[in-house]
Amino acid sequence: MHAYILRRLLLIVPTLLIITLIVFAGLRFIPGDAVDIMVTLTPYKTGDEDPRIVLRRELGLDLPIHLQYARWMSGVLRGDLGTSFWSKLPVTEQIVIGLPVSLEVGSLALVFSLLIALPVAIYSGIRPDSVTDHVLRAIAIAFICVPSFWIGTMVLIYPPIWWGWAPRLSWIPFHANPVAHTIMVVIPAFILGMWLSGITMRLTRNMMLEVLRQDYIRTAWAKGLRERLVIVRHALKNALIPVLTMVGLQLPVLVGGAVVVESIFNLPGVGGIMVQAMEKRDYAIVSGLNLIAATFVLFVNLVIDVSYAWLDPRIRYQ
Amino acid sequence: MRHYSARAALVALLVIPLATVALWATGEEEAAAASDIDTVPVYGGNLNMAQRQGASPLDPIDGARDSVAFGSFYDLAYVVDYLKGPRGTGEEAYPNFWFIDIKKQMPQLLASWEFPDIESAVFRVRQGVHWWRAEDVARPNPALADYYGTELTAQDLVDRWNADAAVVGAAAADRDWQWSVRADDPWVIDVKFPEPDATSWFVVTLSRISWSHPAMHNTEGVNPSDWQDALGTGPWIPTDHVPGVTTKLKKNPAYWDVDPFIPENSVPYLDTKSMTPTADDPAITIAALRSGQLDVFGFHGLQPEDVSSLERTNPELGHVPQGALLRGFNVNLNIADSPWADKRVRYAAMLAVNHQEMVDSFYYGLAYPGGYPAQSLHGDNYIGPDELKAMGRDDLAELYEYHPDKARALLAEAGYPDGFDTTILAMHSVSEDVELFAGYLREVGINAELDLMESAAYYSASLGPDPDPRFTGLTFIDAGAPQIGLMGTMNFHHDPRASLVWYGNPLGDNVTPENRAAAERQMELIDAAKTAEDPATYRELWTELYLHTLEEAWHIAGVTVEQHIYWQPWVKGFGGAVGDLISQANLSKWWWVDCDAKLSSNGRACND
Repeated sequence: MHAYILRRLLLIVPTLLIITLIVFAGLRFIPGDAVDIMVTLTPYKTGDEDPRIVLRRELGLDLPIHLQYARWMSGVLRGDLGTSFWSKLPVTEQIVIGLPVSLEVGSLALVFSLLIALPVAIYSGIRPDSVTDHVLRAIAIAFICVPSFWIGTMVLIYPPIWWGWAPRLSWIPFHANPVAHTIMVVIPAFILGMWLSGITMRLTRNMMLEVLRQDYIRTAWAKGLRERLVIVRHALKNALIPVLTMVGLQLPVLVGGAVVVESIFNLPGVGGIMVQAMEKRDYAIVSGLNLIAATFVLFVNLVIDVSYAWLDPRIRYQ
Repeated sequence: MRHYSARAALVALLVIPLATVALWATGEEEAAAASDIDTVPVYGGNLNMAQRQGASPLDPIDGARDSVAFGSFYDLAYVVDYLKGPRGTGEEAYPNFWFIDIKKQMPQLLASWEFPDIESAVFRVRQGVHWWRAEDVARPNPALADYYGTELTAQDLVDRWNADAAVVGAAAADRDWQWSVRADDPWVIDVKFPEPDATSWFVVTLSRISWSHPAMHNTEGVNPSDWQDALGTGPWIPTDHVPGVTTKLKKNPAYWDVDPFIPENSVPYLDTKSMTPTADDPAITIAALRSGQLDVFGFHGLQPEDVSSLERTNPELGHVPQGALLRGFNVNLNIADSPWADKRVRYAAMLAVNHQEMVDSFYYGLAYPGGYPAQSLHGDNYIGPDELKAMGRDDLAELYEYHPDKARALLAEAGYPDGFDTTILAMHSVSEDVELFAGYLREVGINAELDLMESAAYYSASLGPDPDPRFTGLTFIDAGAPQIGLMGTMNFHHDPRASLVWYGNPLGDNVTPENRAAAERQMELIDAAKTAEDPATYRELWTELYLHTLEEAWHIAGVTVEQHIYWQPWVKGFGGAVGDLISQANLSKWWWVDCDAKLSSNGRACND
């Protein structure tokens, strides 16, 4: 097992190199350039050197791409992800602001989704085709069908009209006001969690139905084990393996991809930072965030793979 | 039991939407009195203002600046005349523009100014202004220890100007002015222009400079992008700044200025100010305004439908159409590319568009027909259809009218009886506007295919080193000020891409041989106006330039869309008095909050 983990860890290095290289180069080939946007805000002095040339030099964009990459990578190895083209602040500083917010919202959304999905899925799984099962499945499909951005938008539009109330839209750190902070984060996290819970609920229910038909479950019943023991220890644990894979893959998406919900609720997460950086072609921020996100995804995948062995003793890594 | 569960779910499915509709209808009927600025000023409280989303540079010498923190941290040379604004005589009618004539400005760090000739200026620096004290800032920087609490000098301003002028893209970088402190009067600065300039270039340059301490920019160990290293004379001192997230400020307890209406009152009135990034998302802005989380909003971003909706649901909000935020949109044309090189085709496109219908049906009446070369709120500098007719130029006045048959005839005359295919490149953000526009063109046979792209790609396609040869585009243009010196922000240039950039002509020629004479004539008129000292001569040249530009139809005129500024009824002393975003941040030193009104109508504490 240790050798397996070590090998996977070592594989992360070339994987990250390839990912960063693709993103770094890809960014520079897509249409649009930070300098061209900056030029629209830049006064000119007749007779001076073209500001485009000056700006490219100042931003280090005058170098060939491979040299730009080498320079960036050498900074990364020293813990320096570069400086934002626009804010002139270190990229790490902005990631440090956004990442905890996204992690908090993403993790909470995941917790909400599991809190909603698992009990409902288990109940539906053990009482298939009952009225409750039908209603719960309809709700699950509704959660999947109704996009979280729509619910978020409704929450932002109607309560202010009806009651003059809206979720807090200016960021409050936890240490400044724990209650206000929690309320601010819980609403978008719940909305995101609702959407996720629908998918998790469907998958878990199906897996439960599948597992409950297995011989070893019949054996457990035949042994006279209590229902709770059969369901939780024998059925659920095995049913959760594919669910765990999916949930694990959802986490990086939640952290980096909850852009729309972050945007609707004005949360300063990495999703919003990434979108704005892309819009302004802030290569330094995009490259830095991509590196962090890729590292996160690779580690989460490793953790998921390792956890299979815990869930299913038949799985062995060599 | 199971039946009851299913029935309950069914009832809920029916009741919830009905209740929603009922509640919505109730909300619409609520109304309250409009804001009144004639109350006695009170001290204390917090003001929540919008700021742009995303981290913006805090270095006040930065070409990419878009931070509203500047007018708060740092004072300005002058601001819009608050005495003549809504709280005062009202004679300086708001809305106004981004850049206002210096004669209509109110002295701040400059106590006075004069222009003895068109080659020089004399600035007198205000005495008794001090840089922030070390004990008032969040974290005094030892490298600035010698400067905290010292009195502002003329040399400070000269050094600051020179630091600015050395940076490409900074406000002063486009001016080769020579600044020097007068030998026999340490409070006077003599400014020498490198060449005669009778236009208002100085207005742009000076109004864009936030006067930070020069030591911020040339002292080792000081980072001008770090809010904790900021050193200004401004009314607000930062207490916290998280890039792109929030900026919190407290009043400068030793601020030099007073309330011009009650000179015994020191300012700022407010204890604190918070900036929240809501400005780029209309949904967030509207929710924040409706829920009272935003006290003042004065940015681009709200569309006419948003304005209409807010008027309906929140009549208590103060709002005025804001000249500084007015946006004219035009379709830029690549006149170097046939068939747009032919003036008749350009005229046909102008005549094909039903501007009034666009205003009435698409912009909820919150717009004005036309917008090229200048916009209808540009006062004397705008020469509208009626004035054109009075001048006997019915041919030009007609360009703003809807004549599809004449458009088709002109196209036929130009050799396109069946019309032609063309492409309009535009940003996604204006997709609806450009689609509307293209619809009119298609009706007369100009089959305009839309190529919508994100803003970065659009700017590269139009301004990049290798511009897209298909370049045309629908662009929203800030109102700017229709003065010769500012024409780059307007449409007075034969290269339509000039409207995308700040003043100046960085783009070179973009003309065909048949348009060259007209382009050269235009530049001659501009040069002549720049050295016209006599107002009558200037006016004459301006009119000639205006008519010439319209005659050439370098752009297809679109419409001018109103943008609005909003404020809560408990915000007093404001009334919409905003010159530009930097001034707005600075002017807030004269505003106050009616805490009782805020609490009773919104349930929010004064310092929230």
